[in-house]
Amino acid sequence: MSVYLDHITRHSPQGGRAIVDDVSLSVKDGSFTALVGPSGAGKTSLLRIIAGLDPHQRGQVSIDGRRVDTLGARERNIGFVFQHYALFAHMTVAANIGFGLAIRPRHSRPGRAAIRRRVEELLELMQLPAMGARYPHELSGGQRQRVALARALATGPRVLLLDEPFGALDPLVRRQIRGWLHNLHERLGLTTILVTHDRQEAAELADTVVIMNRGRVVQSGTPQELEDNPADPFVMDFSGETIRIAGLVTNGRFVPDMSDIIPVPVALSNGRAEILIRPADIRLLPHQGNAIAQFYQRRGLVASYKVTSASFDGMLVEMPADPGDVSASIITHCAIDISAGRFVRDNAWVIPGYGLVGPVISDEVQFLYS
Amino acid sequence: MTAYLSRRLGLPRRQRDPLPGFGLGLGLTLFWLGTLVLLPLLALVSRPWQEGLHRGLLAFAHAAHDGRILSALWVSFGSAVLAALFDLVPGVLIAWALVRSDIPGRRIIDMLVELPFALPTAVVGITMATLYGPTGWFGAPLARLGVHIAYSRTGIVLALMFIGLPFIVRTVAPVLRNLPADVEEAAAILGASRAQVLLRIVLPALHPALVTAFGMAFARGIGEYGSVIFIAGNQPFHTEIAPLLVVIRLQEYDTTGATLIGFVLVAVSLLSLAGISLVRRRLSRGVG
Repeated sequence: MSVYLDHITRHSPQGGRAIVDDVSLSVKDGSFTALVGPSGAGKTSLLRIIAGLDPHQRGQVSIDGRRVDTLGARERNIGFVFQHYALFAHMTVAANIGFGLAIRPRHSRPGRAAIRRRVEELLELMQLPAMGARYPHELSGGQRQRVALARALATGPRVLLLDEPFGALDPLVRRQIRGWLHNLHERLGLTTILVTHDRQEAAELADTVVIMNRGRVVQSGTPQELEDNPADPFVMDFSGETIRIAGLVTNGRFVPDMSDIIPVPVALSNGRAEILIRPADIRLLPHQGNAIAQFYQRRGLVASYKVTSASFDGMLVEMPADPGDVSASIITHCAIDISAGRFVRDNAWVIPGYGLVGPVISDEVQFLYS
Repeated sequence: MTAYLSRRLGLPRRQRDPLPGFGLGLGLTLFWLGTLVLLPLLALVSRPWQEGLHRGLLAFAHAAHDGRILSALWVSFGSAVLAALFDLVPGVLIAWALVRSDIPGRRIIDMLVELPFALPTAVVGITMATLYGPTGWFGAPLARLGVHIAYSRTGIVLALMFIGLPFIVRTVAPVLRNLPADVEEAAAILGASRAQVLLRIVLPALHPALVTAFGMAFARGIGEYGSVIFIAGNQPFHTEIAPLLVVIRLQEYDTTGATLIGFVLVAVSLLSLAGISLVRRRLSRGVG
């Protein structure tokens, strides 16, 4: 089922600040969408508005082409998984999962045997066999989260909303549940909306990532689109490791405030500006300055160096690691090339896309790689 | 040297207590518990047997046939159970109102709830006797309808309800406040109506607290003396409570009789409290 949000605005009950500010969003049937953003960005509020848990002051929510603004949470048939599981502590796992079916009015309620079968089926699906008679407090965090998911799926919703479902789990369990959740989404043909503050998690799971900040949608697209073309400095900052270097533009040249960083030519009026760059896009130029790069660590095919000079200390730079494991442990008299970065002025891109000059790799650096 | 020896001999090295001053704290706790609670109780429990086991048993056999003692005990325990039970509904409602709703004057109501703790119980008794007496504000119209509250068992229950109410509110309110909101929201999203959320989610979560609250109100009701004697009328065999009979026996210089009643009160109270805590533990199994 598709979910369509049209100019949704929600003000906080106290003070009237907009928690969700004029958000329009179209979630396609069968898609896996992640709402990502820092704390207080309004992601959870938006999810709660879709579920009908929180009211909104302006705009429309439609599910499968039907307006649901006037429907309460209990009439929308949406699956919702809460951050802290929200299991019913006094009920067994089986009773938790079967709750949504057992409370239906008599005429639409399945029989006891049918409910039991459905619960068994879901326990099987969640890889929790023989857990039906346990109580939630007897389960581990990962198991509880799966019970919460089974409970949300028991009534057969087509839309599944997940509110930071992995927040309380340890990294290993997180990764397991993530992969398994993605399979589940595809197998059941669900339309899933996930709220998370972890951009990696979002990129791994979702086909569409929606980045939110201060109640607004900043950008949405595939993880690759966001990585290649961040709409503004915030998105770039948020979607990966980013280094900011401030400087002054004079006569078409950006001169960084810090020494041992090579000036970058740019078609820009004179004044202050910044360059935002990923550590992997920074190049080291030997024999051009007075910085010292010290080998820091190696992860797979990437080696990182800590670069120190008179004006900066410990900037992390990544480069492809030497396959023969002969990466130099220390490089003296080097400078830093940041021409692959993006120019920012007044918190917006100065030139859409790349800076004027593409990455320049000098011969000396090539020697470093080979 | 000693460390070396103990390691050599495979003895566990003396570990420092994880809490600073744990030993001292435990000692003080046990000392105060002993002198304030256990010692007087022990004196009371041992008193009937002071003149020999035979005399003690005889006194018990005598008391078991004393209709006045039996009915006083019956009135005390029966009224305490009824009062604690009847307190549950208004207690939960008040706790609900205090925690969940934003009614005006919430803080004042919150304070008023505790008033029965602070008032001298005699004041409560006299006030209630005046209100519900045959000429009182409530008593007079009720008497015309044929309902007599003062100087009857109903009056005792009413007085005990007044005394026991804060126990219910103060026990239930924090549990209600700590009940996570997302659990109720989860139930609503699964299709539960307001009534279903209340009956299937909120009340079961309150069960252990309700049993505790009942136990406390009940225990308080057994021991209550001041407020009851003014409204009860204190007719022997009818509206005479056990604590009053203790006082009466003492005034008659019948120490053995008084301690005997005290002994039974302590024994039955302990048993009921143990039973209640057993029920509570069974109920909180899932909440763990």
